[in-house]
Parts: sequence; C-alpha cells; structure tokens
Amino acid sequence: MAKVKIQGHASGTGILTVTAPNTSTDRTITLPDATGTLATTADVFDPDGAVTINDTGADVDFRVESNNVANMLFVDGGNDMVLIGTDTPISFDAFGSEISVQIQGAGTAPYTGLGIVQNSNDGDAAVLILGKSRGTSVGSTTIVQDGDDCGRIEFQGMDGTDLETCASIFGEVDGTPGSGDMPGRLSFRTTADGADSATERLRITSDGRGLSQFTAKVWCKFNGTGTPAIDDSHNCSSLTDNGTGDYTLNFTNNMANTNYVKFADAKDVNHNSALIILHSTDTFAVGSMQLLCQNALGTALDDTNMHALVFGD
Amino acid sequence: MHIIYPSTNKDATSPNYGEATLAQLIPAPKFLAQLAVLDEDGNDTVTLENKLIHIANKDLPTGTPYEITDEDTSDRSFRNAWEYVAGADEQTSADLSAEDLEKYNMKENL
Repeated sequence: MAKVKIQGHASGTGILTVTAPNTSTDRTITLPDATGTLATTADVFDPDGAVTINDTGADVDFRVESNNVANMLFVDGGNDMVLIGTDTPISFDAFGSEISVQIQGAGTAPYTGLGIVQNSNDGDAAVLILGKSRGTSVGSTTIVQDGDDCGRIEFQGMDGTDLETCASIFGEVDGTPGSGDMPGRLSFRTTADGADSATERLRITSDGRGLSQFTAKVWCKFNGTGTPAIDDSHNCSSLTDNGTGDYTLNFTNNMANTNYVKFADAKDVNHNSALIILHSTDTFAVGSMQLLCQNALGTALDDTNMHALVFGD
Repeated sequence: MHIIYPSTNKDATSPNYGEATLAQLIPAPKFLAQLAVLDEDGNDTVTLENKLIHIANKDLPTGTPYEITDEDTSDRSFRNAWEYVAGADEQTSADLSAEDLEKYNMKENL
C-alpha cells in the first residue's frame, strides 16, 4: 500500500501545503477510493468527531459570518453569551444586557424572530419551555417555592433611549409545591400610559379562577325547588337552603372586601313574575351572599332557574 | 348527599323570621371536584363524606352540629316549619387549618 507520511520535525511543523497553481482545478488532495481517509491525531480537526472550540476557556470570541451578516453567530467568550446577528448585546429593561442568548436583526428579510416547528404524525407540537429551580448550579433539582417566577415573557419597546416594558406574562408557583405537585398561576400585566413598569391586570389562579376587575368573582346557576341543586358555578363551594325562597351562596374564596357588586335574577315559566332580590338587610359578607326569592306580591317562593353573579375585588 | 344543620329563619321579611328551622348545605359539584386528590391511576382518594366534612368546616360556623345525609328532602311542603333533630351520626364543624384559611382567602374561621 502506497503511503506518504509527513513527519513533523522537532524544530518545524508537519503541515502539508498545496500551493496555488495557475488555475484552481488542480488544488486538491485526492484519496485513492471511497474508503480513503485522512488520518487524524488529537491536534487535527476531525469532521466526524467531537469538536471543542476554546477548550482552555480563554477570553476569546467565536464568530460565523454569513453572506450579509458579519456576526451571524457570535459566541462572546468574555461575557458568556451567544449572540445572533450582532456582536454587541443590547440592554433590556429589568435585566440589563445579562440575557445569555440574544437575537438582533434589522429589516424584514428575514424577519427577526424565532420559529419552532415540529413535524410528526401525532398531536404533539413544538414547545418553548421556561423552567426554574432554586439551585445555583446547572442541572440542580432544588425545589421552587410558593410565589417563585417559573418563567416570564416580556414585551419591551424602545423609548428613544432604552427598552421599557409595555406588557408581560408571568408563570408563577401558586401554592406550596412538592414532588409531583406544582400549582401554578398566570399573571398578565400591562403598563399604564405615562408609566414604565407593568401592573398585574389579570391573574388565572391554580384553581382556575380569573382575578381581575373585569371577570366575575362568583357566579352560580341553581334550582331552588325540590332538594336544591347547583347546575353550574364558579368559585362557589355550596348553597345553603335556609327556607322557602331563602338561600345563601357560599363563596369558595372570599372576596377581598365587601365593596363588591352582586346581582341575582330568576326566570321560571311557572312564575312569570318571579323576582329575586338580595337580602333586605343589605348585608355584604366577604364569604357569602344571601338571596331571597319572592314573587311580585312579596311572597317567598322557590324557583327552578336562579342566577347569581358577583364582581369586585 | 348533603348536609343538614339547625338554623334560624334569616328572611327578615318572613313572618317566621328568627324561628328555629333546618338548613341544608348543598355542595357545588365543581367544588367537590376541586377537593379531589388523584392517585397515580387517576382515581380520587378522597371520599365524598370527607369532602362534605371539609365543606361543613369551611361554610358552617365552628361548633355547628350537622349531619351528612342522603335523605330525600325534595318535598318542600311546610318548608319553613322543618326542624333539625339530632341523629346518631351528628358531627360538629371544626376549624379549618391555617393553610386552608389562606387558600380560601379567609382571615379567620366562621
């Protein structure tokens, strides 16, 4: 077997150089057949092997250039960042420039963005996961705590000087977590006109309630005839049948205060004049509301189709 | 099943206002479902009776005697004259735990 070996000299290098000829067509190294290989050593790049760049951890950068972008991929060795489209990190509201992966672009061809597509013959989809542990090392399994942010999505706009938050969505732990137990809530926040920080406007709790100024805190549809029955409800733990036409709706979660709005209504084909009025004492309790069902003459009666609704804090 | 307990007529417009009567506590199906604790096979490990006890502790003042019953109470004739008679299965509502109070946004037990 013919063999050419280039042996590096103690005082030199073992580099095989093919000098440029007058034309580029002959500037090749030809292997004898399809099984031919370029022998490698630890000091030589192997396209089929594991590759480590900057194995010594020096403060140096790694950069890949594309046709139109000088920093299509830029690994900032000094700041431990991966940048796409730039070699200069941008400063974000609330985080500064300490965001470890950044994509920056200009223009619309291509759009600056992140597209994730899964192709599979099932119902699964692409996923974006934001995770959190209380540990301080990569791979930690230290449990999170009630109230911890597990992830947040920030929407920030440039105010002429720097980026400011205009809206955000937080995913937070909502309750005490444990093994196989991770209660969560979503918090939707927007920034008011004239402000530069977002305020929570809607919270979806771990038990499925929507807390806001514009969502019902409690609602219930029930039948007060026979053995009273709750047809459907939200944030309602039980209904008390106090007597004829007299019910108390017990809230699962108390209202924050008694400055809430309550509404009740009844519709029954057998009692065209059925009317529900709230308790005459106008008592507002944080944990319940009393409903009295009377006909137009003020006589208490039970009804089949009754509704109650509460808005407030 | 539901809960019955002694009460007084709370309708100030009723001629029976303040008189002793029987009250029924009807659990909300969705709240019962919320109280479920599922095992690895998806089976609920909490009995209906235990869920009703929890509701009694939550929605009745502490110390209220009550019974869990599946008795048919659909005939509401003379409803305001119903009276609670203690039975052998009578229980008494207890305080909720501090954790439950916080969960239900309650500052104190009823």
